[in-house]
Amino acid sequence: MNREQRLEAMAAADAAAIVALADDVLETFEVEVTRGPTVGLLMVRVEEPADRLPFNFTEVTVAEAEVAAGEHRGYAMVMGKSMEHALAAAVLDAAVAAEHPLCDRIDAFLDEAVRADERRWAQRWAEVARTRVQFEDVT
Amino acid sequence: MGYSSVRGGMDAIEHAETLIAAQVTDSDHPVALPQVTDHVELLLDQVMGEGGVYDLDLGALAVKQAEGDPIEAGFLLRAYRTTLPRVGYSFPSSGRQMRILRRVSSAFRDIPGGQVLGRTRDYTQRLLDFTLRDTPPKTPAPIGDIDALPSGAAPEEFPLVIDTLRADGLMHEAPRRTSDDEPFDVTREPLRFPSTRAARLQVLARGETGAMLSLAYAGMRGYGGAHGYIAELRYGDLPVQISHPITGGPVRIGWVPVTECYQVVGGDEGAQHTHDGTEDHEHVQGENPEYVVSYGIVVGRNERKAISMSILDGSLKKATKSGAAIEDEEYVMYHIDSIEAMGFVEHLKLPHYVDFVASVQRTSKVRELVAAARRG
Repeated sequence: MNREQRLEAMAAADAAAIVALADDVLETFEVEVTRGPTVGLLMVRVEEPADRLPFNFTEVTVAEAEVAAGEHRGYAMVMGKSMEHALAAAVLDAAVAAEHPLCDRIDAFLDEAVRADERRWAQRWAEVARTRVQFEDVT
Repeated sequence: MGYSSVRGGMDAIEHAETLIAAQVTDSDHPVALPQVTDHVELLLDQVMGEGGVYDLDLGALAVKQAEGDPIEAGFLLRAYRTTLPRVGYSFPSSGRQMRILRRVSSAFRDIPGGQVLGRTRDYTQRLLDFTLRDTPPKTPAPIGDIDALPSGAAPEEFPLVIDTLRADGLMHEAPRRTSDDEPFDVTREPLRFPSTRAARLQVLARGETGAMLSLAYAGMRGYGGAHGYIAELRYGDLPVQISHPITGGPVRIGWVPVTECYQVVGGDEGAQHTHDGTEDHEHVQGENPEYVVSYGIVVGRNERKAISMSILDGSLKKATKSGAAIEDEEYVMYHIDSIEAMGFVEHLKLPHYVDFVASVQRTSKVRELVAAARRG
């Protein structure tokens, strides 16, 4: 899992669970908070299809944090207003970068977060799958 | 009744504010925010779209506080957003990346990936369901076999229908890459006319559903504008992608639910009749008439607004104007903003005592002058 995939997984993870894991990591890992945590607005841009023209569509709330652990940095931005979620994710990001002893546990947690996100999507798709139209020709 | 300026009334105002606060909180069945997100989803989507901020928790709070008034709730969201810093911009997302939950075409029966009706009220009868007065048993969702899902849910299974027209040479090809133009941001800069298309699309996306429906309907009845066929109407999740500040690579941090409308206009029906009987020949392009696409996209499930947006986008894009109001960008953009419109109309109920006393004085003076003239 590369750094981008890690952030995607952390953003999709359950906030309470990721905070609990970060608390465990912080028992043996010192970090300095270098950005935030803050809540702000991210402007979501959309590409218009005819001329591929980007425009500002809507804002979404996001929480953002960055930490440093020696030479290692950890960053996270998550949708919503949970600063705890963002800070915990930044801590885990730095911990993986620093090859913290709990890395395997973090990796397993993030793998499960990805699978849970896929299951949620599969469930939503399953609810509409049977509304796919099968046209019949009448002669 | 005195025609004079006054001061005071603070005690009455405070009591009025207490009354409105009590209306929201005093009940044996107070509304919890999850009830709004779970059961008043369409109103919530409208409010977040018109308020210009996607946040379920904030949107539900605004709906509750505003007693369900969508414009007031949108106003609350827009006011709140001014207290938050702007942390950045996402990469432009495309409808091609959407996770589809509904997708229909009124132009083609058979489209790649097929038509998916999803959750829709289109085929229901408009009859009150009195079983909902109580707590009816849950209706089980028609769930298929999750383990046997096709690759189905992937965006690439649902290519854009307009690509079919492009492949057939009936629509011009899209540019190879996204435009580098920095889009105008109406939340940061005051509108100027003529505006850019990016500014128009942003204003339309934040526009008031009812106002846009009304203008689009007027256009369809012949008062200018441009409408054609809905190549595709889609609902689903659009990814929100940022640039990772450490690596610079793209990262998806979540999804925003949206409704998209791709409307194709033109072809050999390009000569569109306007209400005064004239024709708009914009789309009649010699021996090779083409279709053009008009675009609508809104937050959440709001097909009425997405279709209206595509009609207004097409109307404002027209190179040859008929003079109709809905082809005038200043008319459309200023009048579909709910907060501007509500503020201007409703301010009339606030004290205008000084203005009116001046009016009365002028009227009295004119009467005196007229009477004096008649007396000679």
